Amino acid sequence: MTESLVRQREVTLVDLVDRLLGGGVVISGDITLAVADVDLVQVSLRALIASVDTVDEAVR
Amino acid sequence: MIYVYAIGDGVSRARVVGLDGRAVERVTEGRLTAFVTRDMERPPEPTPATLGAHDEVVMSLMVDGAVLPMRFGTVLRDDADIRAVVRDRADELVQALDRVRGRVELGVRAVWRGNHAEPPAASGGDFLRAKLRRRAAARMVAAEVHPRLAQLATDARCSLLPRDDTPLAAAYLVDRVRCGEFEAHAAELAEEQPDAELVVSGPWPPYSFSEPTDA
Repeated sequence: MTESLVRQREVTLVDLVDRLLGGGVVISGDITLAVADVDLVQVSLRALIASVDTVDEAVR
Repeated sequence: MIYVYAIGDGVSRARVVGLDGRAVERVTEGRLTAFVTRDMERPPEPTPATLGAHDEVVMSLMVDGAVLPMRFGTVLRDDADIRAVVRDRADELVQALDRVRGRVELGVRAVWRGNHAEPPAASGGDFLRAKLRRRAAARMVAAEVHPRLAQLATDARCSLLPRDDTPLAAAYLVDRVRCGEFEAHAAELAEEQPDAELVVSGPWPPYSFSEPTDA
C-alpha cells in the first residue's frame, strides 16, 4: 500500500457509506441548507450493500 | 446553492471534476480554501455514484496539501456563507489540518467467520446467549487487533460491534510513508484471528479525523 495505491484502491460501498455519512466536517445550524439524512440514507444504502459490496463499477 | 467537498490549505489550481461532471471551484478565506461546486439546483442524492464522486474529489485534492473532507451532502446558500463558516472556525480547522498533514486514514473492519456469522435462531434464550457470545468474541478481536494497529498510527477510532455482522470497525490515521508497514502488520494480525477476517481499506481522506475532539 504505497502512494500508487491512492488511485488504485478498491472502494467498497460499506466503507464508503460509513465514512462519507458518518465522518467529515459537519457544519451545524441554520447556515446549512442540507446535509444527508444519515438514518434515512443508511437504510436505503444498506439494502444495496447487501446485494453488492464493491462500488467500483457504479462509481467509474 | 453551493456544495462543499472539503476545506484545505493547498494552493494548487489543478482542475478537478466534481458531482455531475461539474467543475470544482475554490473559495478562499484567509489561509484556508473551501472546495465547492456552485449553482447546484438541489442537494445531491446519496447513491454509490455520488458518494464515490465526492470521495474522488477529496482524494484528488489531497495530492496538493492537507484537506478535511466535509460530511457528504453539505450544501450552503452561497460563497458568503461558506466564508463565514471558515472564518468562524479557522483556528480549529487549521489545527485539524496540521493533525492530518502527510497522513491518510486506513480502515480496518472485522467480519465474522464460522458460526459467529450465523443469525441466532430458535428461542429467546438462544438469541440472548448468542448475542452475549458475539459481544464477548468482538471484544476479544478488538483487544488483540486495535492496540497493536494503533501503535502504528498517530490517532485511532474504534467502534465495537457496530452491526451484528461486524465485530469491529476501526480507523487509523497513518503517516503516508508507514502505510506499507501498517498493511503488513494488519495482514499478520489477520492470520492470528480464529473468529474474524480483517478487511483493510484505504487510503482514505481523513473522514474519521476531521472533527476536533470527538475521541
